[in-house]
Amino acid sequence: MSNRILRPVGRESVATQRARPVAGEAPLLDLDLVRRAVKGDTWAEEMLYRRHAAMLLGVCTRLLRHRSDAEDVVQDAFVDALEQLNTLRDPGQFRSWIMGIAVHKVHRRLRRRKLLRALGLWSDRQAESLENCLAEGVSAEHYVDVVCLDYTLRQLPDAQRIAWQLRYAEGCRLEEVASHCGCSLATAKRRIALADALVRRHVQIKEVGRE
Amino acid sequence: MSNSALPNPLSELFESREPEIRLKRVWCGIELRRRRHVAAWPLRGALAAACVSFLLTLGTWFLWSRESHHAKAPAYATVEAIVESGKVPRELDFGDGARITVGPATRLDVLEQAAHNVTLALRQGLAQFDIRPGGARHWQIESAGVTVEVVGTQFSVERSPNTVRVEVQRGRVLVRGAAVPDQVQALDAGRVLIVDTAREGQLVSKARAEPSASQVQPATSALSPSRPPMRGTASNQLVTAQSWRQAAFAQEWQLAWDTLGPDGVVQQSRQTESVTDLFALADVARRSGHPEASVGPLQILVESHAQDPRASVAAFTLGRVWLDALGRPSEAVTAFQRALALDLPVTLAEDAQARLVEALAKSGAPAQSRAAAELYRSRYPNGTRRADVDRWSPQK
Repeated sequence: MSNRILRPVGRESVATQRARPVAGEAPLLDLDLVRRAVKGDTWAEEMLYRRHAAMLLGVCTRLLRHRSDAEDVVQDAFVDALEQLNTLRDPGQFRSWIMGIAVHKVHRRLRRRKLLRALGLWSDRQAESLENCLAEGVSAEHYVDVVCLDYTLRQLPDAQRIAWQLRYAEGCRLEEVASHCGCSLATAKRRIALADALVRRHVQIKEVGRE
Repeated sequence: MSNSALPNPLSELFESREPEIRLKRVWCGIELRRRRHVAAWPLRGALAAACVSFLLTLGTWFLWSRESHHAKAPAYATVEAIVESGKVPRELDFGDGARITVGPATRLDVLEQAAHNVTLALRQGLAQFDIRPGGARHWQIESAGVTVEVVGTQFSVERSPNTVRVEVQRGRVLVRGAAVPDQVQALDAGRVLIVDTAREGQLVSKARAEPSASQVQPATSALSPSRPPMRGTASNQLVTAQSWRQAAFAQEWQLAWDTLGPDGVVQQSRQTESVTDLFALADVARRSGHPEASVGPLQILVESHAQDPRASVAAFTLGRVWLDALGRPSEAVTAFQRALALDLPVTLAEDAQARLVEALAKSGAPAQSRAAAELYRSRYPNGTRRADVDRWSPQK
């Protein structure tokens, strides 16, 4: 493991190279990687990380609006997940499972932030804007809408904002939102509806596949 | 709001790839933390084992101590819940070295007698407590809203209709109650506290910081049956011994004299060795109009307690009694000389010297009177008694 840590930056890790499907060979599924990781395969652990870390870092950065905090949360989430991997009932649901862990830690981090804010140790000015997370090549209209959306989301309570972001920004199903937020489906729907009512006053979002 | 709607989900607008350096940094942190986590397990196990063994030891010790206390508990004698004495004092043995003498016509309720606590309520009368110092039990005596707390000492508590009197012969007690000055008072050996329970917050008599008779005679108490009789029956002795003091503290001199009776002062002064009691007896005799009876206690005080700093005051008082009340200047001369020799306080020394001049003149010793007068004039050139001195021994 240590030689991987010292590997020069910019080169792909051995795990990434090995995980790349060989021509004519089916890629390894999360199910297989989890099973191998449970048996102590460190390569499978790193592979799981490589597969989901970017997604998790993106979600956590957008929810927390702070890159360092997001990295801490992802780190905590993976440490917990890899320690408790044997408790995962459906290994195929690793992505949803670890996202639930991460969102739970985001909630905790936001609660702690409230306390820090009360003590004067955290200012909302430290929070980053959503437009910093945009990919290259986004149209000017969308850029303006995202700036507007960012301003609107800042007005919402954390619980409503997270539920709305999971639903509309990350594309989670309602059941997943409820599960990740640790609330009932009805509560999740209500939170999303309340947030949505405010958001749609300022930005227009395509209506597709409403559940 | 722009014309084009945002996609649903929005994630397609956001960067989906993360820089490799960021991914590596996070993964390094994960590995490091997991290694620490694994390394910490033996330490945590050892810590947990230490905690468990500590708790087990603590639990075992607790159970053992409880059992040992339970085993010790039956060793204490159990006294009936309500102790009522008749005309004769009664002695109670609590089995742990503590002895309680219940005076006549006294009711003492035993509220609690456990391994660590004994709580008694003195409903009426007088009880003398002799509790072994360093004992395992904490003693508490309740009486008319006054609580006496004690660990090991000798003291007495007397309850009258309107007062509670606590006198400490040995050790130290804590007296609490609404009627106690400042709610709480610590009484050392020789101190007496009389609390007026009828008038809340009032104190009949101030605590007197003087050694009592029992300090000299720890084994003897006012209630002890082995004590030589003062007069009459044992129960009468007890009542008298306590009530004359009470009257004296209240400055009811005639009442105190009547309580003691004609020979009471003489008898009490022979029996007591307390300087406080001797002074009180002399005061009772003098102020109730029986100066001749005050000579006895004052003489005992001067002769037997010459080391006491109050002996000089007693000698001075004796001189005044001889000179002014009994008209016996020769005895007065001796008393004043003794008072001056015993280092009388400066405020009284001038008066004593002047009175010595008068006593010497009256006793037919003019030369000595002149010498005493000269001494007075040299010591107190502007003395307040100068005129009297000049009258009894004119200056040449």
